[in-house]
Amino acid sequence: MLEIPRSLLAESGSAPRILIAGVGNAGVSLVDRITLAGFGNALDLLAVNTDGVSLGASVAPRKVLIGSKTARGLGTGGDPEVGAESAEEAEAEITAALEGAHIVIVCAGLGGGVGSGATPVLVEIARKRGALVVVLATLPFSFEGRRRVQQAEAAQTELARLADAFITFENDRMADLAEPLSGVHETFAMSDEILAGTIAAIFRLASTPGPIRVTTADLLTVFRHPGSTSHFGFGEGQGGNRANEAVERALKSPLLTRGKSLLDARATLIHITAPPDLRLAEIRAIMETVARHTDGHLHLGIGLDPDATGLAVALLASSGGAVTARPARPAPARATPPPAEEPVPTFSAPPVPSTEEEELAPAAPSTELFDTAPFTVEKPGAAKKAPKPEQKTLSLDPIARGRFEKSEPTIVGGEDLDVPTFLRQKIKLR
Amino acid sequence: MSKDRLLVGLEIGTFKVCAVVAEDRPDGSLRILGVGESKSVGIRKGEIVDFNSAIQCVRDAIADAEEKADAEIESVWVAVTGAHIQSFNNRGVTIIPEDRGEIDAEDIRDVEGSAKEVNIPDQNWFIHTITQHYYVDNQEGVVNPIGMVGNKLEADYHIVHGVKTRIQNTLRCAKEAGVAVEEIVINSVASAQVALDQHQKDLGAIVLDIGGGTTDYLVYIDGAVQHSGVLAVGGDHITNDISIGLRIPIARAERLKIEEGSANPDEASPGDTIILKNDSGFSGCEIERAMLNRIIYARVRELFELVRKDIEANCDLDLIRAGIMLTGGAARLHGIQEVAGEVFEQPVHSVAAQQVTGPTSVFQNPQYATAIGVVKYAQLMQIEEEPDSLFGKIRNIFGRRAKA
Repeated sequence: MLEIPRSLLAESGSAPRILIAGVGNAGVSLVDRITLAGFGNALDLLAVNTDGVSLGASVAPRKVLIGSKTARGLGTGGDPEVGAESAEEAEAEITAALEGAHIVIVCAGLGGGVGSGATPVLVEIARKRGALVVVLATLPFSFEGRRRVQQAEAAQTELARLADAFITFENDRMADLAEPLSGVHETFAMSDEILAGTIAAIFRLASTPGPIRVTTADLLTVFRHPGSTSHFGFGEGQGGNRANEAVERALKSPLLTRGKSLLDARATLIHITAPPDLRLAEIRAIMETVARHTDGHLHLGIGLDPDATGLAVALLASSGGAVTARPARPAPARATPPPAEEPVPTFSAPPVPSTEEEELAPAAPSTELFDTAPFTVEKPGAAKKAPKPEQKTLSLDPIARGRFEKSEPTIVGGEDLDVPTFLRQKIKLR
Repeated sequence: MSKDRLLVGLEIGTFKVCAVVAEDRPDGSLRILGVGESKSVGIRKGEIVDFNSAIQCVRDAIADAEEKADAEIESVWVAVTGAHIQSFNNRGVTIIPEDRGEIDAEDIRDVEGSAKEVNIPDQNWFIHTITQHYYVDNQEGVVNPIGMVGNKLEADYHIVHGVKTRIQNTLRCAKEAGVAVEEIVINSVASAQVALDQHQKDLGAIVLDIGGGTTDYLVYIDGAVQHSGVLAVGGDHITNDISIGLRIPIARAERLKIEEGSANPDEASPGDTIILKNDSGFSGCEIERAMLNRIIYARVRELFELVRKDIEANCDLDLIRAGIMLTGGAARLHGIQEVAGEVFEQPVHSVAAQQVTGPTSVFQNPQYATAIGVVKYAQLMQIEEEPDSLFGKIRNIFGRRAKA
């Protein structure tokens, strides 16, 4: 089932080339932030947008203007259809821009025209080229209105299916990050920082040399299971207790939602980047801490970087999959004989999934589609479910800890025991 | 007034700080002279979070104990707990030199040293090295190998370790409060000293000490400590659950738990309500008893299930033949024994300190089991230290840690 693309096999000795593509306004601004943070030299950065002005203002080294006919160098006006058409129109340019990349990290803000419309097209192009595609997307604030949320949900379903790994960040969760009174600029900066940090960590994960290298094949193992959702967490620590600090921070990372997502993770990739004075005892401490939170497979990677100032731990977990919370629906869909050549649903007519039923429907048959496709890396995205339902349950956290709000959480088997048992077990009190 | 040797046990608990002053009498018995206590502030889940408040609490408890026992306290033995404490079993081996052949105290130290040659996290300290069994040339069931002839000495140990800095915080807290620290002991080992007699240890028993912030447990099988653990869930969690579930203030929830709470969900008949009177800052309300009990039951059951899971992973539950001994403040919760029995499928006893004399109100209260246990442990250690005493040849089975 797992086919490693030829392009990867050929150069398995060297570090894979990573390209970061920012799509749409949100994506481009994130790429800008990464460029300014100084990763620019080590990474390929690409900005993709329909808006010539925004693209002109970007500091990204490479830019692709899409939809010069469809959008005439302007924005899409929030219409994913225009975004998708623009991207299709510029397929040749995009293909050229993606040339030679082994791992493509696509950043986008879902909900708008380019982010929701063009991203799936770009992901598909990258996948066709045989690259491993990681999508990092932000979901709109719920106050941005129903339409944007619906567009984001549609794109989410689509991307979860197409990409190898799909990591989301809900803007609504920003409220949890910053103090309620802090300025909007600060809050956005924090969210960007998290995303930029995530990208930097993925980059290090795949590129830092060390005694235990993480290969693309390892990444695939973590993401391989169809229908899985990816979670990412990272943390850094310095000084004598750096290992514990880093792993605790990684577990508490907002994207990983306080270690909870690890509980049902099937596979977790732990990558440690540290200066060469990394000790075995530290690795052990980190692994043991992570192992306490999950029963799934653990994959370890270690990178040694003489320039690193501290120890960084990145956790990449993939949960769900074949045994999901709602296995009933995807299963029968897979059992039905697959249509031999079903076209990939695009956004030409954006579906508006108001119910879960509809949201899952387009994802299921495509499992088969990828089985017959000749040049895919593997079949992970196939039945991948949008991670949203899982993340939603976490909104309970801040209220439910009560008097333990400020104390160190007691996490056993991935469950935060400070949260009342009746809430976690959903026991009806009346 | 002349006193025989004074032993003082100090427990800096999540709910209360408690100091027990006891007299080690020449006949080997222990008589409690007085107990001082103060309500804890700045302690969560058995660990200090507000240093200055904690010092004040310890000072108060010590002063209270000095007054009640009419004695001056100079040094204490301290119980420690916290989720950072971990344990494992390991075997040590040492070869007896050919020219000697007879096992001596030096060899015992060597075998213990070899058992400790394991990786524990850098920031951790060994707290206890508890001897389980000795083997001389593969002969099992050796109680005391000193003086025996053999080529190879092996020993199984139960090793307990914890984070250095956190233990140091507890020690510093006692020192700042003006008392020297003799030694530390983990809660569960202390509680076991008073909750179990030798017969029960031989039969196999579990001591479950449910305190305010942590649940400490210790498993004895065949007379030896087989497993120990700390789960940072305790009575505080029950209170917190009640407070969230019934939307009442924490202080009110605590009182409700003690006065009305039960872990038995079937006890309340439908429609049975409890009326909470209005209080300052609380407008009073009526709650359903069934709801209260269900909240408590869910938490208590989960707590026991987690403990059982951990014990099962390390021990054979069939070898526990004396049952479960419940102790600690939360052991007084109504109906908790039944839930423990349901989860462990074992007889459950709620026990307080045995084998001590003094005011009964003290040692019959499971709240004081740990602190009294500390004293009992201290007594045991001192007997072992005296080479001339009758028990002197019993080796120090708990493996003392060097003084801090």
